Amino acid sequence: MLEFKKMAKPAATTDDLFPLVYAELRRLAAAYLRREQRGLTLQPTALVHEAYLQLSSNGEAIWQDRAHFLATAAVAMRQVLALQARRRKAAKRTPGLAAVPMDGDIRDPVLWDYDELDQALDRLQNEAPELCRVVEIRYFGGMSVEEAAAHLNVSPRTVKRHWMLARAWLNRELGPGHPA
Amino acid sequence: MSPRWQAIERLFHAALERPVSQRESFVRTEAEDQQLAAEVLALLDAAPSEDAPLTQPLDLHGLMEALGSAFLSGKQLGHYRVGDLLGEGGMGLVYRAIDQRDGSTVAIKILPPGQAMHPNRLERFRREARAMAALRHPAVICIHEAGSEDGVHYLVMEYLEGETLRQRVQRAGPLSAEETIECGLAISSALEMAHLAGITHRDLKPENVMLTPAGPKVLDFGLAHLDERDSPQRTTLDGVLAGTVAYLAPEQIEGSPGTPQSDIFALGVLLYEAVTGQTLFQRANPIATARAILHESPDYRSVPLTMRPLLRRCLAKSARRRYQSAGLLRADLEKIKSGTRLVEHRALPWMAAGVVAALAVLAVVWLVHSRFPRRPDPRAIANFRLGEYHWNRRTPESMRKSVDYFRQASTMDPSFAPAFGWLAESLAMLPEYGVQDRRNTEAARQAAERAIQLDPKLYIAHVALAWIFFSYDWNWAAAEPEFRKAVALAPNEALPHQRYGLGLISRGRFKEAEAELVRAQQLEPFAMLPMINLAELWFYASRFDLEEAQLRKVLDRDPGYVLARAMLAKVDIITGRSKEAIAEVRRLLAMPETAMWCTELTEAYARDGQRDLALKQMAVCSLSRPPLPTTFIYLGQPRRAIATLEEWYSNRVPYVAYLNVDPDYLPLRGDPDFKKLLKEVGF
Repeated sequence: MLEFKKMAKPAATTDDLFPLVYAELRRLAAAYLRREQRGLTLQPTALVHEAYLQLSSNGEAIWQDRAHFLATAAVAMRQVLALQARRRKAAKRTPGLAAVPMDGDIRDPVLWDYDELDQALDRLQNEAPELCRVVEIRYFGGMSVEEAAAHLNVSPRTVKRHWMLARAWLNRELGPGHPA
Repeated sequence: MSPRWQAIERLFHAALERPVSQRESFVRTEAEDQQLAAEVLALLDAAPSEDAPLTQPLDLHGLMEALGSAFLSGKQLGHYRVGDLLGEGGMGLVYRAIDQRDGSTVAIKILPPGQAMHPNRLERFRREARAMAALRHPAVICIHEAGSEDGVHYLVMEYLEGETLRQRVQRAGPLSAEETIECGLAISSALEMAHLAGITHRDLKPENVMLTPAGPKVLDFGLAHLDERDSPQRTTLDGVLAGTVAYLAPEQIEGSPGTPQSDIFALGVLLYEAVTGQTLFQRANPIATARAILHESPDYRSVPLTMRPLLRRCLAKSARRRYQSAGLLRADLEKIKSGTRLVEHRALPWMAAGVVAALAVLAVVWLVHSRFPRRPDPRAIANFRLGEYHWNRRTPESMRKSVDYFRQASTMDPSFAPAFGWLAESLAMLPEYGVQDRRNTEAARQAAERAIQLDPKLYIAHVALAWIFFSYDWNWAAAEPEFRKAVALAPNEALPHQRYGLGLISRGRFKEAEAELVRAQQLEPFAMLPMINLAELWFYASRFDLEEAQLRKVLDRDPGYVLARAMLAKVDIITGRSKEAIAEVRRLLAMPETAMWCTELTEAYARDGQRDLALKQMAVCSLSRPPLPTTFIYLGQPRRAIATLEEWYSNRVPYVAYLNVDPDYLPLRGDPDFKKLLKEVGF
């Protein structure tokens, strides 16, 4: 029976995983919100890791390994955060179009403009795709250097070098004050 | 990485290993050109410290919003594949989407998660959507369904091409008097029907009127007050969206709920703005706008003379002095259209105006009754519309609902022929949707006969009767004349052609069937069903090349159409491309709600010679769907195939009508039991 199940379900592609990752991120975010902790700082990578734990504990893992999941989730996270930033900006430009929480600035401080980061990463993707990928899986997927190295099939040293250079490049692109 | 980036990286890291003071001279000597040196130096300036935080804290509220609504493009929501974002409004994001059951384009509005979290509001949203679904009017956007999936709540609507009245006026200036009157006629007629059904719009404004090739359409009917009642931002005036205040009636500003008369006021403002191209009450802030609505009288100098009395009555500060119904407003618009001059009612005290209005209502009612002696009961019409709506959705559940509504309509008005005709049609369709009960078919027969008695020219009654003869009685001799009668009565309706085409397939008259199905497709070019029927035709005609071509056409239009993909897999099975079939069906089964195609996987394994796997697969499938006779044929068990067919025969499963042409039964052709069965079915 087990073998049968595997046969009927081919290894999931990134596309197949998207809805799953979204649903889980959503559930987790709602759970954190329910805890009503003011001043709670939760990081994207922490959320992605928790999503992985949740999704792999129900026994029906359909991605190949943890890195495969984190890489997928990283892309999802990047898009979600960029979109959120864009919508926030749009809402500020045209007041009343989308609800902006009254005490929004107190509850969710925007320290980082994920929209600008997203656009910068698009440019980096054109210039040096390897650097962009490292940022994506480290920054949004929270992979360790070793995990990233295994996933990208390069040495940890290369990952470290890419990572350092990419962060310098992003700092330069996005101006001072962004702790990339 | 490009050679240039390799050089940048090499130099960058080499410089980082040196003391800060030596870095610049190092880079300048090592770099091949000035540009490279400048680039690396800039990057060194921006180099992060090792302990800089990896990521920023999350904005969970924003994250929820983003995850909950905007990431739906390309996703599946109920039966809908969500496409690109069309726009964003106060009530939610609107996406283009494809209904995967028939390939039609729809618009989906997603409720913001924040709104959906209030259970009361959600329940009201659903109730309102159901009421709206019953509101069928050419000038009202058609609401197909309200649904929810994974906590995402959505409203499925007709997809409209065009621009809003606001956009039109901004783009091309004011409408002509004639255009304004046409627009007013459409909207007032929509309001008339909605008000009769107890629904007020409450948020009529130029943004909520779409000008489409098929005429003006009113959007967001009855939804507006959802926010009004529940959202704290909307209970005070300064919280209301600036654009909305300008169309509120004075009594609404004073805190009364919206009434039909306040809709008429809003329509007055809208028509004034359409014909003058100027805003009427819009001021710098909501408070000033509200004050203008309460106290300022409009300047009518730029309004065409003929329209002034009408707009004055719409825009009266006192609700009692306005038109007392949208129907009366519509009647006056028609008068203007035909060139009659309207009399000003300004001088009339409100009581007299009310009496006049009441008399006018009586006059209209009387007129209607005298002109249509058999005007159906309005409640019967309402139920009839609901029946039509559910029939159109074509799911087992909706078919049953349509039966209920048509039945109620026919009980409420026993002389309302269409109610009986459509009751017959939906009852006759039940077996197609897996509801097997002889009593339904007998009831369908009676309803069809009653409908024909009331109105012999009612095509749908003949369609239903033909279908009963064809798929239930298996009596082709009786069915064909009825099919022909239906086609002759309604040559421009797709349904009779489509049904007759299916009947012709069963008789092996493929050329004629093709002509009928092509005609059906021409009449309903956007419906997927006639396209699929054509593919089915080629399957039964054993022209798998043509079937494949037809299915590719379907998939060109909607690459995600599961039925078409499953049928393609079936082509692969029957033509021996079992490996491809296995791969494709497995892909299908990985998608949601595709369990029914697992029988195809069984057949594909069997065809591929993997008998053990096929048997296992059949065991798995039988949990969700009993094995098909064809499955037994593929497994080399003809006796069990025939036994299943005999069971189908005694249960009067409609499919049996196609037994003679189904290429899957070729291996049974010589079997005496199969021959006997064919004979009993009338071949």
